[in-house]
Amino acid sequence: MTTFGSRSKAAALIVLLASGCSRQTVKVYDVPKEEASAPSFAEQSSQTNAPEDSDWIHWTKPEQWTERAPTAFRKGNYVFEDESGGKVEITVSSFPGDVGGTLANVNRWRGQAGLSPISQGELAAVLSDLTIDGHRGQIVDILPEDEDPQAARIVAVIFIYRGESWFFKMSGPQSIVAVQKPLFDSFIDSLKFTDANATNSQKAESSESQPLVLAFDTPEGWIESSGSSFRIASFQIELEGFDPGDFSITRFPGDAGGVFANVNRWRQQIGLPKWSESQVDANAKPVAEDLQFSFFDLAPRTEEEKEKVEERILAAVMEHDGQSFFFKLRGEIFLVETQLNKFLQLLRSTRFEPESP
Amino acid sequence: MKPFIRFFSSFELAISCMALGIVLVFIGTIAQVQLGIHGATELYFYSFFLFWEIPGIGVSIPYFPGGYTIGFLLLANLVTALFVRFRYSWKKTGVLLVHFGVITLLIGELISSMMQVDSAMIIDEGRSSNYSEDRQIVELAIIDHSRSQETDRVYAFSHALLENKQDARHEELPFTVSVNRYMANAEIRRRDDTAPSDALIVNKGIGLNTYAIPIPKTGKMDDVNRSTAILTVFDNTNAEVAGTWLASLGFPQQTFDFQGKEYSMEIRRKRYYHPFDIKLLDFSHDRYLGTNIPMNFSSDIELTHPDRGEKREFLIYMNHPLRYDGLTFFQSGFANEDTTTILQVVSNPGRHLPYVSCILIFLGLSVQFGIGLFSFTQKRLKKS
Repeated sequence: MTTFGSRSKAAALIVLLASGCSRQTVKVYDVPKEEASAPSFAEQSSQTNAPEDSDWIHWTKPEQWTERAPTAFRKGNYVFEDESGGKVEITVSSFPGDVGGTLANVNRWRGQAGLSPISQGELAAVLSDLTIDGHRGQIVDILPEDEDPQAARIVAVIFIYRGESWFFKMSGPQSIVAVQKPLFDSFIDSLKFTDANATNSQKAESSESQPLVLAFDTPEGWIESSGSSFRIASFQIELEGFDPGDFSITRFPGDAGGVFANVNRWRQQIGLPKWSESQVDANAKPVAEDLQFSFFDLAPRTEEEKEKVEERILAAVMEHDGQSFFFKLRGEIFLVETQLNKFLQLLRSTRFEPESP
Repeated sequence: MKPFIRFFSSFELAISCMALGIVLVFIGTIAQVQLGIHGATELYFYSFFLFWEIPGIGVSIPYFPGGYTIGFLLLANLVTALFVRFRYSWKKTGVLLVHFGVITLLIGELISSMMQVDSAMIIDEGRSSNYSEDRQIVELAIIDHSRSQETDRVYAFSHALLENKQDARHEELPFTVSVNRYMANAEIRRRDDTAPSDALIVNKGIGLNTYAIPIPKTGKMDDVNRSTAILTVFDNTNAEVAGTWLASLGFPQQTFDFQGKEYSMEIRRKRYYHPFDIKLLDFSHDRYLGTNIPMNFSSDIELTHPDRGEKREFLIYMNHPLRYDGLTFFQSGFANEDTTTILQVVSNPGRHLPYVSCILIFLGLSVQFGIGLFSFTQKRLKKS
C-alpha cells in the first residue's frame, strides 16, 4: 500500500540522487469493494465485445486428434496424445486487427518455447509464405535450440482475413510435434475460406447475436481491395487516366456520431464546407425501399467549390439493429460520376439474409 | 585544490548565480503562459540545464543552467565561503545568520522539490475516503474481484512501466499485460473509419467505440494529461492473447473474465492510502448576498484514526488547512453542485524550513543593523 512516510521519502530521495531514474514497481493491497456507480456511456460500451464466432474459415480435423471444448479465445481446440502420454496442442484462434503485428506474435511464441526474441530484421528469415484456398498466409516453425526430445517446438500459421488475425498453432515436445507435422500440414491444407465459392455476391458478417448477414451484389468492374481491418467490404474502382476510386462499407455500434457529424466529416475530407443540420436533412435522399438508406452526393456545386475541390464522395448511411453501416465511394469527380448508377444499384441490392452454410 | 576552492568561494560566483537566477526566474515566469505552472517549474527550476533541440537533427544541447545547477552552485559558494573567506567576529554575527538563512532556504527548496507530494482527496457528502490521488502521476491498476465477497485485490503498477512499455506481471496473476503503446496525453475520439491503423488492434472494451490520438503534454493547472495506453492481455501458460484494450485516464474500470475469475483494469491517478478515514459531514459554499460571488468554501469533516483511537471533527476552509500526520489538507475545490469537496493533500518534509530561513534572515539583518547602529552611535558620542 502506498503511504506517506518520512522514512520512505528519505530513502526515495537517496535513490533518486543516486540513480536519477525511476524503476518499475508494483504494489499489492486489498481494498473494500467499491460501490458500483450509474453506468456511463463508456461502461455500456465496454460490455460490447468484438464479433468472435464469424466462422469465416472452416477446416477438417484429422482423425488422430481429439477435440476439446472451445474456450473464450479458441475457435478450435485439439490435442494429440501418444502412447507414452506426451501431448501436443493444436489451437485455432482469431482476433480483430493484427494483435500487435507478426513480430510481436512470433516473439510471444518464441518466449513460450523458451527462446529469446528476434528483431524485425531477423523475422523474414523465420517466416515462409504459403497459399491456401487462394489466400496467402505465413508459417513459422520455432525449433528449440537443444536436442532434448521434450523441448518445446511450435509451428504456427497466420492468416490476416477480413481484418482479423487467424492463428493455427501446434505446440508440444519436439519429438511429437515432428511426428504430427504432416498431419498439421494436411489440416492447414483443408482450410476453406468462406468467400472461396462466392462469385458475384459478397457477404459480410453481422453481429454475433444476429444470424442474418449483410449481402449485396458487387458491381461489375469493381476489384476487391484489402482496405483496413474495420471495413466489412472494400473495393477499388479503376478508370484509365484517373487515380483509383475507393469504395468501403464500414460498421460501427450505435450511431457513430450521427449522420450530421459524419456527413460534414466527409465533406471536410475533400475540402467542402460544412453543411448545417437543415442542409444535411435537405440533401438526404432515400434509395432503397426495404432498407432505410440516407444517400448523399457530396460534390462541389458553387463555382468557388469547383475551382478548389477535385474529389467527390457518394455516401449512404443505414442503421440496422443498433448499428450504423456506412457505404462510401470516394474518387475524382469524373470517375465517381461514371460509378453513380453502380453505387445506387449496390445500395438497392443490399439486404440482410441468413448466412449460407 | 586552491583554484578550485577560490572559485567556489568567490564573490564573482555568488553574483553570477544571483544574476543567472534573476534571468531564469524571468524566463521561467514568462514560460508559464505556455507551459502552465507545473510545466514551467519542472522545465526551468527543477532541472539542471535548459536544453535546445537542434532542428532537423534531433540532438539537444544545454544552453542555460537550470534551477538545480544555480541552486547547487550558490549553496556550494555559501558553504565554502563560510569556511574559507568568512572572518568570524562578533561584528559579523548578523551576516553569519543571513548566510545560514539563505543556506536553509536553498536546502528547504531542494527538499521540497524532491520530496513534496501533491495529491487530492475527493469526498462526497456523507461518504468517507482513506486515499488521495496524485495530480500528475498515474498508475495501471489490475483488480482481482474474485478474492472475497468484501474486498478486491489491487495490483498497482507504476507509471514508469507504462512509459517504458514494460510488461505488467505478478506471480499471483495468471496473465501478463503488455503495453503496446503509451501516450502521455491523448484525445479520445469516437471510432470511425478515420481511426488510425494502430487503434484497430483494440478488440475489447471501450476501445471498440473509441480511439486515441496522441497530443502534446500539458503542464497547465486546469488541463489534464489524459494518459492512455493500448494494452494486450496474454495468458502466462500458453502466451495466447486474451484481448487488447484501450485504457485511458477517466475511463471506468474495464472488466474481463480470465480462467473463470473476474478482473478489471484501469489507468487512474496514483493513489496514496492513509491510515485514517476522512468523512465529509457537510460542504458549504457561501455566496455574498444577492450574488454568485463566492464568499467562503468550507468542509466539515470527521477524521477517524482506528490505530490511535481518534475520532475528531475539523472545519477546513480557505486559508485554514488541517495539519495532521505530516500532511496538510487545503480546501481546494468542489463539484457535483456543492455536494463533493476536493481537498488538496500536501506532504512536504521541508515545509518548515522556509519559516526557519525567514526568521534567521530577519534576525541576521536586525542584528547586523543593530551592530552598525551601535557602532555609529558610539563614534558620534566619542566625537562629541
